[in-house]
Amino acid sequence: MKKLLYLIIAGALIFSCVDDIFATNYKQMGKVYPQGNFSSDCFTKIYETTLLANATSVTISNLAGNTTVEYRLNTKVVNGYDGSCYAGLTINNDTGANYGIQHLRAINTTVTASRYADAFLYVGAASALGSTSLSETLIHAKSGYVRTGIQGRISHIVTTTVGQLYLVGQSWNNTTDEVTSLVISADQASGLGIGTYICLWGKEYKQ
Amino acid sequence: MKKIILLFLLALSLIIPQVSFAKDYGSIDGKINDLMQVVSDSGELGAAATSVTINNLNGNTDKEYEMIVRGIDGVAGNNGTSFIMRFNNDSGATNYGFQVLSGSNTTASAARNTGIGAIYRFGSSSITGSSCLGIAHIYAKSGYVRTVILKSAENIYTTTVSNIMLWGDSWNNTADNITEINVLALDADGIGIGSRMILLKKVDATSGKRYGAMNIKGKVKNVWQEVTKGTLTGAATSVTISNLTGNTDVIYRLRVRHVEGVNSSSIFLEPNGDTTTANYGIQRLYGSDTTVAAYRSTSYGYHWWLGYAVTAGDIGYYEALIYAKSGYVRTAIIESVIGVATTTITAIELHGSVWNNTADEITSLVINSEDANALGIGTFYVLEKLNLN
Repeated sequence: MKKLLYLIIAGALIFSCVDDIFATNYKQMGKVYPQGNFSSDCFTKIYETTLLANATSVTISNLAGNTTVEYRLNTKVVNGYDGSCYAGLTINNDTGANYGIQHLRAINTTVTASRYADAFLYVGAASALGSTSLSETLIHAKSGYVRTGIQGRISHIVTTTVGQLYLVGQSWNNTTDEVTSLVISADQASGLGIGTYICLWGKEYKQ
Repeated sequence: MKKIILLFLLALSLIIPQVSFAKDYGSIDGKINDLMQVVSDSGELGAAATSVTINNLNGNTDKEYEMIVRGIDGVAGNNGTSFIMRFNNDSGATNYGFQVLSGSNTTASAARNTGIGAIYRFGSSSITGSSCLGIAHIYAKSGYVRTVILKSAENIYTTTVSNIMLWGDSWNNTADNITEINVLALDADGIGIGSRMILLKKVDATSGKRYGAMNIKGKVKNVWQEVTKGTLTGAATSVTISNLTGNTDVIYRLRVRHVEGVNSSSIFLEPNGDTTTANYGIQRLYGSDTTVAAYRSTSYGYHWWLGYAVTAGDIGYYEALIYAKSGYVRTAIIESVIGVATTTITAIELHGSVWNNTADEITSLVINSEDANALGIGTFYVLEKLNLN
C-alpha cells in the first residue's frame, strides 16, 4: 500500500510538471492567463502602463537585458505640458551624452538627415498641450558590444496633422553594464500627460 | 498517521509544482494573455475583392494592433490601385492625415496630407499582378486621435521595387471604440487573388483560466516564435538557416546584430542560397549624416542587402520582414542601422527588396557576406516565423 502511494506521488509530481510535451498537434487551451513567466521564445509583454495622472518620468526596472537580449518598446506620449516638450529614453538612467543617433526626418515636404550624440533617445515631442507621439523601438540589449536600436516615430500629432516622421538608428555606447532599467522622461515637469501609454516587450526563452 | 502524512505529501506534490516551478507544455493553441497574436488571417484570397473587413474587435481593450498586408494588384489593364485602411469603415473624406517619407529610384521625398479619407497605404501599383508588402503598427485606444506607423514596399514586379515608404498616420476620431478594421482597394476588385491580410492584437485574456508559470516546449499558435537563433563564437563568411518550409510558414522575421569581422563588408540574405544577381531587386531610402538619398537596382549584386560596416568591430543591426510563400515574387521590408561605433552611426536605411523566383519553396536562408569572415565573433541572428499553421 505504501509503495503504491509513493508511486502515485511520484506520478503526480511528474504529470503536474509536464503536460504532453511530445504532442505534435496543438493542445486547445482557450483563454490562458499565466500567473508566472510564459517561456516560449516569443516576445512577451513585461511592462505596461497608461498614465492616469501626469508624470515627469516613468521607470521600468528589474530588467535583465543580458538574459532577455531583445526588447520592443512601444510608446504613445501625450504632451502634459502647455508648450514645447519632448520625451526621451535613457538606459539604466544614464544621462551622459552616451547615445548615438542617425535619423531620417520628414516634415511636410522636407526630408532631412542628421547624425549626433545626445544624452537620451527621443520617443516623442510636441509643441502643444495634448499633442501626441507614437514610437516603436527595437533594442538589442545584451552587453559585450554597443547596444543598438531601430526606431520608427511620429510626433507633433494634432487631429489630422502628423507633424514629424522619423526613422532612427540608435546606439548606447556602454558595452559592459547589463540593462536593468529603462527610463522615459519628459524635459518639462508633468510632461508625460494623462493617457500616455508605455508597453515593453521582451523575449522569454524556453527552458 | 502514516497514511495522513502520505496523503498530505500527495496533495503537496500536486500543489507545489503549480506555484513553484514552470510546467512544461507541448504545442498550444489559445488566447495567451500578454502576447501579440493573430486575430485574423484572410489566407491568400481566391477571388479578387474590393475590401476585406475584420470585425468583432475591441480597440479599447486590445490597444495595439499589427496589420500585415501582402497585396496583389487585381485591376486589369495596368490601371493600378492603392491598398488603404479604415477604422470602423469611416470613409469621411477628411478624417485621416498622413506624413510620408519615400524613396523612389533616386528620389527621396516627403509629403503631408491633413484631410484624406483613409490610412495610407500598404501599397500603390500601376501594373496588374504586381505586389506590395506593408506592415502597420496601430495604437487603437480611444481618448486621443488614433495613430499609425506604417512601412510599405510597393509596385513590385520581377526585380523592380518601385517605392519604399514610411508613413505616419492619424485618424481624428477620439471617441469611438475601434470594432472593425477595413482594408480596401481604391478600385473595384483591386485586392487581387493572392492578397493576404493578417492582423495581430495584444491579447487580454485576464478573464481566462489561470495557470502558473508555463514553459512551452513546442509551438504557440498565432504568434511570432523563434525558429532558430545563434551567436557566432568564431568569424564566419556565411550562416545557413536550413530546413525551412516557406510555403507553410508563409512569413518570416529575421534580425541580425552584425559584428564586422574584417573591413568594409556588405552583409546580405539569399533565399535558397541563390547567388544570381539578376534575380534580385532593391529600392533603398537612407540617411547618412546630413545626406538623404534613394537608390534602385533591378539586378542587385548584394541580393537581399541587409547592410554594411566600414571598420572591423563596427556593429550593424538589421531586421527583415519576409513574405516567403511561393506563387508570386518574394518580397521583404528591411530596416538597417549601419556601421555603429560608440555614438557614431554611419547610416539608417529602409529597403524594399524582391527575389523574382515565384516557384521554388524557400527551404533555406543564407546570411552571406562580401568578404571572408565578415560575420565576426559576437554576430547574433534570430529567425522567427508567424505560426499561422
